[in-house]
Amino acid sequence: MARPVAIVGTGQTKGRRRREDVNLSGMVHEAVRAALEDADLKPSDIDAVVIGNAPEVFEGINYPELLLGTASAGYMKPVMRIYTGGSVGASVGICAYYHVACGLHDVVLAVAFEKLSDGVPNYGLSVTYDPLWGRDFAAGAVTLVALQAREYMHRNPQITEEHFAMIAVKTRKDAQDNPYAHLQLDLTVEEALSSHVVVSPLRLHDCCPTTDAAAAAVFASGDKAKRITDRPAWVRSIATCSEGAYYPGMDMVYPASLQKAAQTAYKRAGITDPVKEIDVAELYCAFTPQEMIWAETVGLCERGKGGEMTESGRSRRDGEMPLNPSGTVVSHNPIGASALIRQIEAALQVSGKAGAHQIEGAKTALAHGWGGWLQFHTIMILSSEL
Amino acid sequence: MNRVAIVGAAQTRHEAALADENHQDLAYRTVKEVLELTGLRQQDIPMVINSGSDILDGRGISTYMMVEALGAQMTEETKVADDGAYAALYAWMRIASGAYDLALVVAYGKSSESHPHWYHNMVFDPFYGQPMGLDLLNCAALQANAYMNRYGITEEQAAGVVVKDLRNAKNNPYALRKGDYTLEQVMSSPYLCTPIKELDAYPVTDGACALILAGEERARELTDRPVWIEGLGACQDAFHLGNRELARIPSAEESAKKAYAMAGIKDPLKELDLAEVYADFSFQELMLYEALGFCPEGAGGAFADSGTPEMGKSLPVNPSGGPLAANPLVCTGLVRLAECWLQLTGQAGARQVAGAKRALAHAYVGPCMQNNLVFILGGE
Repeated sequence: MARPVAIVGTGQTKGRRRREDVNLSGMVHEAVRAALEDADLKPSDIDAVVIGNAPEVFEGINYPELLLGTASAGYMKPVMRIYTGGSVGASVGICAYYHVACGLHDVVLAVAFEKLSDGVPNYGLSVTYDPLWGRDFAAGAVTLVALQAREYMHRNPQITEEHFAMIAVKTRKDAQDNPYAHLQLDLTVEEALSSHVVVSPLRLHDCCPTTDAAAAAVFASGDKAKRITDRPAWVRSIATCSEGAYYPGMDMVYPASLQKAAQTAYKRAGITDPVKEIDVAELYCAFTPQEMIWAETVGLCERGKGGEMTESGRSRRDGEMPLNPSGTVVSHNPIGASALIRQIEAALQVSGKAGAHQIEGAKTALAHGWGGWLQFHTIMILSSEL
Repeated sequence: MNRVAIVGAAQTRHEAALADENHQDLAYRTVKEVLELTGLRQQDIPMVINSGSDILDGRGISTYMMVEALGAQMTEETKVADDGAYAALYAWMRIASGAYDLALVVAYGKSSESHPHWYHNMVFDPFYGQPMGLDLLNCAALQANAYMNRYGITEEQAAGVVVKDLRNAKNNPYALRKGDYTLEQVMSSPYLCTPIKELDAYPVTDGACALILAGEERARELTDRPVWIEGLGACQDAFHLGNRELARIPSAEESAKKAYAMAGIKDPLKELDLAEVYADFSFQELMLYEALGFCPEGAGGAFADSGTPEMGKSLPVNPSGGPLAANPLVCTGLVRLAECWLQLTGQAGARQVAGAKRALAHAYVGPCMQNNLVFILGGE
């Protein structure tokens, strides 16, 4: 099997609605420099670079890896771009992993970014629909998740908008302890419930913000990892799965692709009881209902018990199954970077470097990425021990 | 590091406009063909690595609508958003790591539904480069002038590459532009951007290509003629043209150096039997002769004049006609790998290089060949 690989350094920029003080290269370089400093490496220590963002139309730049290679420590090195919609950040991390796992490179940088203020995100998301017959109905990602949430409520009548509001309060509060999170708010359930409807049943506080930010992670081979840090975050397993957007019989709540990705990742990591064996999970939740939906899909919560989980506090930082201690995507959504940030946050947790939002004693963490029409899913399991 | 082989390849006939088929049709037809060729079924494929372009397709997240057509339903599909040859590189990594033993690599491009100027113009930064009107062609013209001025290369020498490639393309049923062009015809074709003339430049092309890669054990089960990936190397230069040495392609030199070292090649001219290179403009093929170490720096023109890169000589370059004959953007580099597979399995028909055992496939992305990728392939 593949040789051991660990995340040995991470960097993020503080999320903001508009980073007018830097251009795209400057913002990306900020994350790259932070990751290199975290690992105490020089740009010349990097063997290869993998770069990714979500639709190119977000920034209006085709093949952005060409422009950003130098800012990403990639001058005169192999540079490759990955692109899988919203899950791209995770796919970038996975590609960096294979750069190392195959033995060709020892230290590889994964870089993901989005400067959404350079464009119009909902336009960028709407052009994903077919130009001939889909675009008349296109309205970004929120309509899609509104459908998912409605269907979830329909199948599970005990779920109410109050559950969404409770998750909004929890994530906005957790985000206050994450120095990079974009939205850090004191919010009450009443305030969340009285915020305006964006697309029913999703209200303003159920939705992610539009964020400018970048993230970078250093992936290193076993020997190098041990030399670089005494707290490597080992990649224990990876699995991904894709399904067609309009595949007949697609499960709009619990995508078969995510179920398969999670089950495969557990199997590859030798995990038989995920709730017991996983100490913390970072799920790609761009909208509050997805915390319950994804947790149920990946088996961190029983089917239909997302509401109970939320009410009981089990998913809180001090609960038995902490979910999204960073505040997740609901608090910070530089789209192309968001899924890499899940891997970075999981790595921070298992290496005990998560600071104020550290889950005490976290040894094994799950990072999830979601992209496309609920159709692209990635899972990475990270551990403090190999 | 597990050995990896190409066990099958398929490509469409490359045409100016494959108007009867949409993107899904193109990809599906190629995927179906390569699966049939290797006797595999869709459910045998654990991962699909594909390349496409949102900007060329006019869609965001272009894989979104492509999953089924790519044969990727419920697989570990991912997308490399460069030329398809980079998707093959990623597939190689996954198999070499030991995590997988089989991969389907697919790339497609329908330039006829887009406009190459805007596609390439969008590569530049939106504040300075894009408003200047930079694109692949005018940047290449700057590069051609820098190269020709420094080394005394003539337009006739570049035109000779066109004559050779389009003559080779006559033997390639998949090629778009082909024929017995004379040097005078190339020289008298209208200037697009001095010194590049119409026939010096690639034709706008639609097409798709698919490969199956397999780990050693699996490869031997699937075919008795595996084509091994013996070496590879990739390198990206600086972005801004002013930060680069335009008269050379240092990133191609570096890629070739790595690929040769990995494959144990010391003298490429002697040890390679053919090369399929990705040059959008005739003079770039001359530059690649130098960068890939077929001849010394500045000697690309003389190397062409010597006839060495012609069919029947010691190192035929682009027996298929190369990108001057057919250039389906996004999959042109992957087609180079497919052509080498045909050559090394003795299936290249009229364009077969007799006794070909070792081949070089080259791909690139970016204006003035910024990011280069070299594969060394070997038959048994």
